Formats: sequence, C-alpha cells, structure tokens
Amino acid sequence: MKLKRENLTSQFVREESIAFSCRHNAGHLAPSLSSVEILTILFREFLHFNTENPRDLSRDRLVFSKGHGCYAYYVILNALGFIPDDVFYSFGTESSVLKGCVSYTPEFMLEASTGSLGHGLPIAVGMAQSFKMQGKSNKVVCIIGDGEMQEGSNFEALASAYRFKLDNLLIIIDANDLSAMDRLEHIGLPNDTLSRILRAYVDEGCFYDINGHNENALRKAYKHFFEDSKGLSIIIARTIKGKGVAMIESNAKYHYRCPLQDGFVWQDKAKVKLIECQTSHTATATHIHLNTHKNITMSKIQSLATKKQVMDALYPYFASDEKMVLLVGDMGFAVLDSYFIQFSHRVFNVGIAEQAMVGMAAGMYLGGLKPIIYAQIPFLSMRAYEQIRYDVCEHSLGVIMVGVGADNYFKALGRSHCMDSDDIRLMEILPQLQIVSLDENGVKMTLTQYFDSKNLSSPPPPLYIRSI
Amino acid sequence: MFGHITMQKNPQHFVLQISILMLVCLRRCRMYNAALDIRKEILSIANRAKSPHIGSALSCADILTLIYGEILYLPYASESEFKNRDIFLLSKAHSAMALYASLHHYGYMSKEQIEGYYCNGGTLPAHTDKTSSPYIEMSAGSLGHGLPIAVGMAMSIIGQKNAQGHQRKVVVLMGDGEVQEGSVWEAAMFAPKQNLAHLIVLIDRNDLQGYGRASELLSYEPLEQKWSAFGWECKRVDGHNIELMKESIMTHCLSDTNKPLALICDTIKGKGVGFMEDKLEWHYYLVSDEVYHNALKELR
Repeated sequence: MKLKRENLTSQFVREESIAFSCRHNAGHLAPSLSSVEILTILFREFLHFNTENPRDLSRDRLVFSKGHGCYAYYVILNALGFIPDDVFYSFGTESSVLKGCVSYTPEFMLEASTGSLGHGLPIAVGMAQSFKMQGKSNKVVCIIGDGEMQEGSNFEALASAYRFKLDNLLIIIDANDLSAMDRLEHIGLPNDTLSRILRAYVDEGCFYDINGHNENALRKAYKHFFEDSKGLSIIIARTIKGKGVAMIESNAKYHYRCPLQDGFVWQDKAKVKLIECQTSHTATATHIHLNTHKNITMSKIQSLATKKQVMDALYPYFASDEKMVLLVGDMGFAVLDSYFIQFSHRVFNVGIAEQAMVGMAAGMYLGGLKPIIYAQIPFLSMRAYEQIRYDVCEHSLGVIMVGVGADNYFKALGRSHCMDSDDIRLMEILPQLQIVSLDENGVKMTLTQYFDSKNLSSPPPPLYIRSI
Repeated sequence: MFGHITMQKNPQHFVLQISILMLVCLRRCRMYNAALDIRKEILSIANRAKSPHIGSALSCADILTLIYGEILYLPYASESEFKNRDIFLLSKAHSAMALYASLHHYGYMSKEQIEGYYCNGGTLPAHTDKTSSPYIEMSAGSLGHGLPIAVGMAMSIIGQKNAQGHQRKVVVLMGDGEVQEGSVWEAAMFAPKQNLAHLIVLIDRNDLQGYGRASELLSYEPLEQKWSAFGWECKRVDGHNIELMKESIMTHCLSDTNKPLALICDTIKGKGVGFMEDKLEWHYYLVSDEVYHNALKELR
C-alpha cells in the first residue's frame, strides 16, 4: 500500500486504524482515533519529509508522546511507504519490530520511543533547541495526550521551552478529556483548566484552543506555526476519544480494549484470516525461542500472583481499617472496581503523576493514614525512585506499594512497560524495603504476618509487592 | 487609624481604641524584634558552623517568624495536645538554619541542640532530618518533595481539630527555584479538588536559586496566574512585611473557601544584611568572624 501524501484523507486513516485494531485485536483504538485529523492534516499538508529517505536530515520531527495511541500514526507511515507492509501486518507478534507503543526506529521515521507518559515533550524541547542552536530550520511537533499532561515532567519541560523561545516547536494536546480510567475533571485537570494553565506558558497569538476534528481549524493553526511562527506554539485540540466508532466514543472502558471483543462488527473478515495464519505461524516460532532461552522468566510469570489476587488479598484489611487509603496511578479496571465502589471516600485516582503519588503517600502516612500505592512497575520503581528512597524508605514509613506488570507481563506494550526483573535489583538497594515477589498463597501469608506485626510495637516496614 | 480615632466623641471609646492601637503596635514591635533576633541567631549559627546557605536562610526569616509566632498552634512535644498540633514543613530544607533559629527563639529547641548544628557527631544536619527533633516534621533537602507530602498530610488530617477548636493546618514553605520541579505541579494539580482549605503553601520568591536568577533560567512567571489556573487561591505579598502576610493568611483561614492557599512572598535573598542582599554568592559563601561582625552591625 503506497499513497501520495496529498491523497491521504482522514476517512482513510480512520478506517484503516479501525481495521488495524480489529486485525490484530489491538486495544488502544480509542486513543488512536482521537488524533486522526491532527495527524492527517499534519502529514498531508505541513510536515516536511522525504518519502525516498526517512533519515533525510532536513526533515521535520514528529515526537508522538502519547505512544500508546499510535495506530493512526502507523497507518499513515505505512501508507506513505515508511513502514513496510510485512512489518505493518506482523504487528503484535513477538518478533515484530513494530511495538504496541511507539519505539524509536529511524528507518520508519519513528523519531523517539514513547509510551511511558510524559517523556515526549522533554525530548521534543531538546530536539528543537538543538536545531535552533545549530541554525537549522527543522520544525519539531510534539503530540501529547491530555491525560499525560498530569506528569510533572511536562511542566518542567514547558518552562524551558518558553525560556529558549522555541519558535520551531509546536505542542499539540490531543484533548479527548479521558484518561485510561476516568474523566479528567475527576482527577483534577479538566480541559478548561488545562487550557487556562497552558495559556500562561506561551505568548499571545501562539495559543490555539480548537476542535481537533475540524480540518480547517487545524489547518489554520498549523499554517500559522509553519509559516509565521512568533514563538513557542501550543494547540489544544479538543477531540473525542474513539471518534468514529459509536460504541467506544468517549467511553473510558475502551481505553485499552478492542471493540471486537464486545460484538463490534467489522467488515473485512478476509484480512483477519490472512493475518491469523501469519500470527499463529510466528507465535510457534517465538514459543520455541522462549522455551530455549527464557525458561526461568516464563515459569516465574506463571507463578507470580496476579494484580487481582494481590488486591483481593489486601481487600479484607482495607475494608476493616478506615485508616487505609488507596492511591492509584490511573489504572486498575476490573481489578479495583470493588475498592472504588465501596470506599470511594478513601480511594483516589491520583492520575498520571507517580512522583507526587509516592510523595503524597509518604505525607499521608506521616499524617496517620496507611496508604497503599497501585501503579505499573516501571513508572513506580524508576520514575518515582527518588521519592521511594527518600520520602518513604528514609522515613521508614509502612507504605505498601503494589507494582503491576512484573517480569515483562506487558511485553505486548513495548519496552516502556516492561523491565525484566530489574525492579527487584533497584528495590534491593533500599535496606528498609521488603520485597514480596511470590505467588498468591505467598502474598496472603506475607500479608497476614505483616498486619500481625503491626500490633506489636515496632513500626511496619515499607512493602513492595510485585504482581503480574 | 488615627483619623478614625479623632472622630470618636465618646472618651471611653477613645481609650479603648488607643489601647487596641498600642496593643497592635506592641505586637508589631514584638514580631519585628523576634525577626531581628532570629536573624542574629542565624548569623551566629552560620558563623559557628561555617556552613553555607546564609542568603536563603535570611530571606525566609520573616516568614518563619510569622509562622511560629502567630500562625501555628504548636504545643511542646511533652504536652498531650502535641498530637493535635499544626504542621509546618520546610521544603526548601537548605534554609534549615532559619528553621532551627526560629525553633530556638520560640523555645522549642535548646541552646545545646542549636550548637550541635553542622558538625561531626552533632545533633542537627544542614538539611532537616526527621529524627533530630519532634518539631522537624520531615527529612528534606531534595527539592520538590515537600508539597506532595504536605498534600498527603493535609488529606489525612481533614476534620481533625486542635485544642482551640480549629481545623489542624498544614503549612509548607517552598523556594522559588524548587517550583520548577515537576512533582510540585503534579501535587498542585491534585490538591484543589480535595477540600484542603487548611493547606497553606508559602513560596519564598527571592528570585535567586543555586546558580542564577529563577526568572531568567526558566519561564516560571507569572506564578500567580499559574497557581490560580491550577485552581488554587493565590495571593502575592511582600515577604518581609509580617503584618501583610499575616493578614492574607488569616483572611484565608476565616473565609469559607475550600481551596488551598498559595501565598507568593516576594523576598530578598540575604535580607537584613546589606552586602548579602540579592547576591547569588551568599548561597555558598561562609560567614567568617569578620563577616559576622560586619553583618551584626548592619542588622542594628
């Protein structure tokens, strides 16, 4: 499939993105559909690139920071010939170069690895500043999700971007008002607030708050940036998550769920079959590979307690102790439902802000509560490592941290979401911390002991429970 | 105020008002003297220990004088009411000298403790350590940690009253350089929705951080607009005018808002000692005996 850039249409990209998701039973369809127009107009009319050479030095750079919602992005790159068909259709298999979250592959014009949120903007600011310093005219565009704007790193980067007067940087917020779990207004950053905040970061005339599905509005804003930029530019593109597929539109349930699973009828069955053959073929190959090299990891994955088992084991303690609070890093569908329903007054979705989540948990413990943290392992153990070391461990606070996705459980999502068992090595450095990496029964027994010892005089240690 | 008094016909009222005025003056005078004493103590500590960060400590001396003198409800640790105290967190913990000097001035720390500052085998480190005293609420020194912790603390004490029947407060003092840390904004985003009117954030805006002017390094201004945009109640005051700061905080505490307060206090780094004022180098320079004596002269 190869298309001239001027023939790209939003309709085509949207249909192909849906097909892509259905073909591979891939979950992040809704976040991909909200940025269809944003990407299409950008690639069709404005971004400077060379279809013959993806590494052309004069190309503009697109940093796709909401790395999970990448299907429309992949579809466009495939249509323009940057991502070859065999790679494109083998998405989702173990051996595939194309990952569930954007992974740095310059030959496909994938400019930066993203997927761990809040990483794209600092990278884009660095790129833009380096072009500026070298006197180059390349432009940098960074597309960020609105949920992602909860990450403090974005605000660290924004301050620098303004200071460097980066008139070659365009920041687009795909404001679909939904993060993985919830409406953003419930977490603390509704789009209107976000718009007000970002306005304070740029000069007059460089800020656009527009409908992100309106091609003309997008075109006008892009034109202003690409042809007559006065400074750091920000577009708040108000979009609808899942735009185009009625059953998933603005529905938080479908952040990571292919609508096929719920009876969505997708026409193109022939393609599915073709791909099924391909997938099963590669899957066997991988299986062998795993058996020979990764035996230990495999068995570990199977025996580790699942997140549901861990949270269920914690539930009775949580239910009987009004002092326990749960802080959630914007995840936990199906696993934490009962917590959210039964104890809404002491369960908080803190949003995508791991550093602050750990800091706040420390504060809560110091203030007399008993917090539990629930977050993905890489973002908890690495992004908030300093807070874990200093705020929790150096104070020896009995904060319970539940890490989800141990031992590459989320490998389909790419390297951003998995770190082998390196989290153990990181956490081992902290002498106060107890690490629990056990199966369901092991976790239950540990918790019994842990909560027993609380009745004794010694304060409980911080606990790190790994789960898949 | 004088104009108002002369208009009163009733001599009883006149006497009453005069006495109120004298009380206010007395109090103002007392706060002024307290701030002066604390500044002297800071200089003496810095001179004895030969430790850096004198500029940062002097810049927040008035703020700390106010907080410990008028704002916090803080019984001694030996009293049973101590558990219902108000909480103060010094997030810009490199100004620990100012904290120790204030605690000493108001009788929470002994002379011996202060003398163990910044020396081998001593009692008080240059950045705060929670275990060193019951009045030190958190270990700090890595910037950007104070606000998230304060938000957590404030959430955990919602509804708890101190002996005076007021909601327990959490007050946190941050530096303006520190406001660049992303964790600050993560917490700032989260707090306004949680009914934390008893959370008060003070920003010591002296516009000089470790290696430059904050306003030149980054575009963190307009600070007021940013905090307001995040949903905070935000005010900007002269951080050396104790009366004004007190009025802003009191107005907030007495109002029925459910938003937390961010008070941006415009200060001068090294305030009080002319040759240190607004000079970057006094973030690091040590206070030698000669400097100490010259500085004391300037303070008077």
